[in-house]
Amino acid sequence: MACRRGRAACLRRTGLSSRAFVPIIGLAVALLASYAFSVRFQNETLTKWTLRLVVMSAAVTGYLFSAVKDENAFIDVRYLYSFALLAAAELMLQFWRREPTGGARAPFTVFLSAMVFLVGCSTVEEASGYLLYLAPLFFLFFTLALLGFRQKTHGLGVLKYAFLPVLAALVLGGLTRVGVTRYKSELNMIGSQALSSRRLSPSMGMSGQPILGSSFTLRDSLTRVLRIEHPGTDFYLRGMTFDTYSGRTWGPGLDQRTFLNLPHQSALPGPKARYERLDDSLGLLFVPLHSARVVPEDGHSLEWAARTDGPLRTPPTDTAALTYDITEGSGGVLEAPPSAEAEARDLAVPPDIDPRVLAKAHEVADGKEAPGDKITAIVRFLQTNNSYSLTVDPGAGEPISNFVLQKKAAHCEYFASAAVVMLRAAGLPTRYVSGYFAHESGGKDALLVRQRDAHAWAESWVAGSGWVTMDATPGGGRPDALAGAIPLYWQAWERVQDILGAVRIWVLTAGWLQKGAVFLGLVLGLLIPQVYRYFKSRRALVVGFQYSSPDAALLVLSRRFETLLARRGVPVPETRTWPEHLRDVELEDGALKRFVQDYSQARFGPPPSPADIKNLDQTLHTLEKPT
Amino acid sequence: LTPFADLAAAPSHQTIERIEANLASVIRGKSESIRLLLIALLAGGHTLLEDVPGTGKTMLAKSLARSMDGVFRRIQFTPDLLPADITGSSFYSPGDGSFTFREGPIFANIVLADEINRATPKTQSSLLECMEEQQVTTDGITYKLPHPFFVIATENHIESHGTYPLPEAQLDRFLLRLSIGYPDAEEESRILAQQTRLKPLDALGAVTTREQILRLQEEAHAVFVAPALRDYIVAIVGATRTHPQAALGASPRGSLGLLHAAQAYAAIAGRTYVQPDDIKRLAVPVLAHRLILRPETRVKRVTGPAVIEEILGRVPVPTAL
Repeated sequence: MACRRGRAACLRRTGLSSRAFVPIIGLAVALLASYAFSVRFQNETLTKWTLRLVVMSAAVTGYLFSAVKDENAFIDVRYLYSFALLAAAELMLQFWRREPTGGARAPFTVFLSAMVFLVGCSTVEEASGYLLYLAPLFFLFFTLALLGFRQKTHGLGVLKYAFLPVLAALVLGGLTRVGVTRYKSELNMIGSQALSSRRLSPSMGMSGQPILGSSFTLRDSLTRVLRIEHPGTDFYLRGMTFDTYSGRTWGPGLDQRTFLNLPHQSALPGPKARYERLDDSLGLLFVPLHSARVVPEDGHSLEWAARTDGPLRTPPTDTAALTYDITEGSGGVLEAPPSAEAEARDLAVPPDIDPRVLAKAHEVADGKEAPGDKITAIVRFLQTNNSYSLTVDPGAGEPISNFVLQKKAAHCEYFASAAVVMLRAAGLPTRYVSGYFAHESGGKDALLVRQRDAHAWAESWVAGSGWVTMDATPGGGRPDALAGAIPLYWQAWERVQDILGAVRIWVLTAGWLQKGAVFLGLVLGLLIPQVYRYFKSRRALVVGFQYSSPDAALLVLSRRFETLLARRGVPVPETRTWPEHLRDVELEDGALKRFVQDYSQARFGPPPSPADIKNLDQTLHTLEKPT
Repeated sequence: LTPFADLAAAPSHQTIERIEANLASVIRGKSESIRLLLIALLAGGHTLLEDVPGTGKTMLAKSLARSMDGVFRRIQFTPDLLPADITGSSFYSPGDGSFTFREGPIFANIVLADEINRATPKTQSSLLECMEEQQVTTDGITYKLPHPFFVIATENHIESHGTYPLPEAQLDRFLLRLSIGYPDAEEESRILAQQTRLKPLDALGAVTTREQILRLQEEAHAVFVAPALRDYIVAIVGATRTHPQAALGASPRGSLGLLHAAQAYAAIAGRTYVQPDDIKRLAVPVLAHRLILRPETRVKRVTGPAVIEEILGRVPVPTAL
């Protein structure tokens, strides 16, 4: 999303206060300044570059921890974004550096910077604009770096060598742009999940209020919501229940409910299912209907909206991570019989519904005495009357009536709504339930629930039996039938997420001492091999003995000559010979050259006579005189 | 590579200059290679040319032989070449019932061992023995090889199928390794213009004698080497042995080679003493082929010359020490 409201407004929105710019600009200046001095790494290896990244990120995150109010944030995406911009700047500079300092590692450097940048941008909605036009550029750089573009190009050769790579890079870049545009929400999701607990877009996750006729967007989402260890027998995990319907919408909405504290209950003995919440779906606890006890870990208290028989939740926090144990069995709060008032609400047929739908319900349930038979008849009717489809055109008017009367194909929300309405018409108190249907194996004796497993069904109160779960959606429309295989890349990504999650939890829980120790360990781990290699190479090149010394008089002369050169601004490195050095610095003045020649003869030829040394002394003396 | 120092006037220097001019008229634009070749000749060593075919290796060897009025022989190494094909063998003469020794192609002043890596190791080592000992022994009789005796062996690394690459330890027996390389475009078109009709080799005459070359060799051996420069050579060669990227450094034969080559260089330059510049200039051609680099350096594209250059950039020069 581009920011069109001016710079200041944009800064406010991205959360970059002017304070944040101080360290960022400081870092950028330091980075640029480092190019002017030899303190920079002379040849770029991956280790060295990673080390620099670590140091840079430490500087940025160090600032974060002091500035970010929200203790639960692992890394604030806004600062990560600034960091990414720095990495991008680094990338540009790296790319245009000359051999050998750019070196053979340039593709790695470019790739690493680009990855940091992409992750950084994909986590901030405001920054994804940059992503769109910078991603092709990165591909261009990366391709060129891979092709060793710079080594081959001089003068006109540039055109010849550049044409194909540039064309290839532009095509790749274009494709990336299309891909990024197409999968923008996924990219944002990946970024937000990996690096921040913040929910960046409220459209992600389950809706707090089902609205028929609006599109059902969760079906494609592979985001994991829950992991259940030792699951029980009930795979319908209730989130919210709704009892009133008007104007296409089931109510009451989540924000209209009053939550009460549920007195703390200790866990019951016996088998318990352990629910681990991986993604924050409205902060709710998803539980099976027949849950005798729900006990959150870590002393979290429970709240629930009593008037609508749920949902359950813990008091709002910023973190999604929550683990709770559920003992399956009867007698839980969710199964409580409806109050007289609630029963009246669960029996009220919404006034918007076309009377023909009610007539249909009566017709279907006609002659069935037992509530069970009525339920079966109505479910069967819906399953034969309508077929399943993810795309539905509700048409003008009231969608449930259209669905039943025009025999439309639609998804679970419609089947559940129609079932509720028709069962109410047939005299059974019924409520609308939204939640997840668990079916995917998450390892041994475990289930995994994803956003795509979102589902809706109905629950009817049957005297003597209690609440009965009833799924009117045809079998082919249930999440288990629709779920495709999880792509391999996604599985790999989830593994990475788990590791990142573990790191995040560690960062949030570990003490500063521990964090410091680990950081130090990481830096040392990267540094020690470098230091070791440096010393090894130094040791290898140290001359193990003294050179045979020249005549003391010659030694004095040589010192004087070297001082002379140093005074002229061209000190001799000890690994260069004098003639080499004079050529290097283009100081081929005849007198200097003659002295060097005479000195060489005295130094390396047969031992000089005292007269030779005196001559040398005189020549040097004339050279030393200021001109 | 630093260019050669100006050549001072000296009688032996004039001889060298004449040979160089003679060779340069045939091998155009390759004065560096020619000089290195002469250094090897004067130092009494042998040369390994690593080059692709057609760059003038044979021409160079032939013209060198012709310039000093010496005998030139060329041995094309093939897989079926036998040691006796190089050294010669004894033949039975039915007339007097005795064996007479017929000299092989090794009995020459300049021997071009072309594509040495195509022959079997046995044949290769018989050549290397001759190079080292300057004599041939068959049937218990030792035959001295002529003086001067100079072997130019060539290897072609591009087409390596079916070859027996010389073991690194054997490479040590060559004083210098160099490559002529392709001429630049300008020189190449000049070669074409010049050789449209005639072969320049035919017109080449002797400019010196074998005796003169032997005298030059003696002169080179007499060049003064300061103790500090011997230390400098030892320091450089020592650094090759402890260099992290070298599995095996240069041997004492390498130190000797560098010493002799530096002496020959100084002699060519008309100096009576060796300078550190001479040693620096020759360290790469003398030492690079003697190193065995670690396998991982192959991936990093580190080469022998690069390692030697790095060492030269670290070992202090004894000028003011």
